[in-house]
Amino acid sequence: MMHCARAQRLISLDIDQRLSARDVVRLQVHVGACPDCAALARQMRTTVAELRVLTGPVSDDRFIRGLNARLSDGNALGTTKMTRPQIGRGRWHIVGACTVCAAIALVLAAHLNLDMSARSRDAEVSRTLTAARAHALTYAATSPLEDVAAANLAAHYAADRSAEKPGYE
Amino acid sequence: MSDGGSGLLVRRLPPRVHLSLAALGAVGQLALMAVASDAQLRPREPTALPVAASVEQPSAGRERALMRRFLLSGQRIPYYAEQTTRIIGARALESRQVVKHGGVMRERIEYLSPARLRGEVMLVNGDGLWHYRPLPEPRISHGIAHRDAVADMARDLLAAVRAKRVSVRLVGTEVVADRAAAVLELRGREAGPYKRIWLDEATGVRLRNEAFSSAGVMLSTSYFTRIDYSVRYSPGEFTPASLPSAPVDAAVPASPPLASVAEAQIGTSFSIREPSLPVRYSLKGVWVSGTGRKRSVILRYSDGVNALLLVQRHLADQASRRVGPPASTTPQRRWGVAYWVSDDMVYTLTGTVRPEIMRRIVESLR
Repeated sequence: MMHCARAQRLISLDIDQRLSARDVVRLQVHVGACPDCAALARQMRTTVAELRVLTGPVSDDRFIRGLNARLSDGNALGTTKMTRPQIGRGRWHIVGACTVCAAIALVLAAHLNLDMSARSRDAEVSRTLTAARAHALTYAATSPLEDVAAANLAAHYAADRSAEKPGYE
Repeated sequence: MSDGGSGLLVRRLPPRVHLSLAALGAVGQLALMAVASDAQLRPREPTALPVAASVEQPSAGRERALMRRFLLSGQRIPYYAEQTTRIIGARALESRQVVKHGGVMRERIEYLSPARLRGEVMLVNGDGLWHYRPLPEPRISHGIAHRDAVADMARDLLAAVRAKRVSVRLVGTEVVADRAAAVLELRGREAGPYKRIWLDEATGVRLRNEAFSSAGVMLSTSYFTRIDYSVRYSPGEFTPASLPSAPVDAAVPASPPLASVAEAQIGTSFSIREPSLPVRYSLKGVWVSGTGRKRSVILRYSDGVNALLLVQRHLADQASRRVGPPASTTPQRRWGVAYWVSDDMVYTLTGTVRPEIMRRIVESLR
């Protein structure tokens, strides 16, 4: 049984008459049984047929004139008449590129600002932790009941990110 | 020849034999003296004795006597020991060290293993702790402790035992590093983390210690595998000059202990907060480190057996902006220290607490 994904690929090849006879038969059996693929096949055939009206590569100007002619006949594409803008396309490209670059620059600047602030905060936290560790080890080294060797070992291998477990981790 | 009167046959021994017998007698006497001396240092008690067999006086008196010996004479006796330390947690960790103890505030711990700790030295002298770390780059950190720190803590602990804020119980005797040791269990007034210490019955030196959570789970232990009391150390053994050459970090804390939080508040730009703790904990010391906006405040609390160290510091202006996700109320951990950021302040907490007490502390500092 052919899957729809494969059938949809074969529909395109079938239109281009690039399928083997066996695949043509299999595709026809699937399309006959699958309403979705049947609708897709009809739509693709219609589209290809319309595209074949356009013979050969056309320049931008010829395309626009042809399109305008069809639009003036009130076809399905609507009644609005598109006109070729008077300003050169190159300038709009430059404006668009500048806008994109400015947006990227703004995003990068905001990101860098956030990054620097985060790093600054991390540095402050690290300094505080360093002081805390030094003070804790000093206390453990001078208190008769503490175990400075265990405290130092824990400081080296602290891996647990949660404080839910008691004691050294 | 014979002695006609007694019937005993007496031989006149040649001088060489006299000398030999005299030498044998002297050697035998020396051997006896050595055995007797050794017996004093190394009694041949079995590994474990029932408590009753080793108690010579009422239990409370014996326990306090052991504690006094531990806190007073036990701190003064020089020794050389080899020690193993274990931490039991998400994974078991172990290290081995050489411990050279020259007296009160004179101790040197040299790490033998694991590889990442090999070469580290922790040196305690009258100025506090000098901690040399060869990795990742050679550095020395200096934690200040005044000369009487040990004596003050010993006095406080004995007072806590007398006032029954700390309970001391003899729970057995064992042999550690070939020394007969009495096992004492120390607990605060309320249920909480507790400790056991093994004290050399003859010298009062601590041979082993174990730390337990409130649930009775062992968290860490250090124990001597060998101890030698016949050592003598040179004065230079416990000076910072004996450490390998390395840059020294600024000392922490920079000030001597202050009398109160109010005194620490003077000159501190942020409002010092005190955590909500179980009633058994009392404030034992306040320190400040740094100046101006870079000031840290250190509060030390103790229940007599366990200590909590809380450090608080105001984050600098550019660092305090809310960046990224809001600060989590669940503390993170680094280097064995719990820390969290709240209201432009960073807090760190060192010590053993149950999760609900940790949450209570975090909430009270918001």
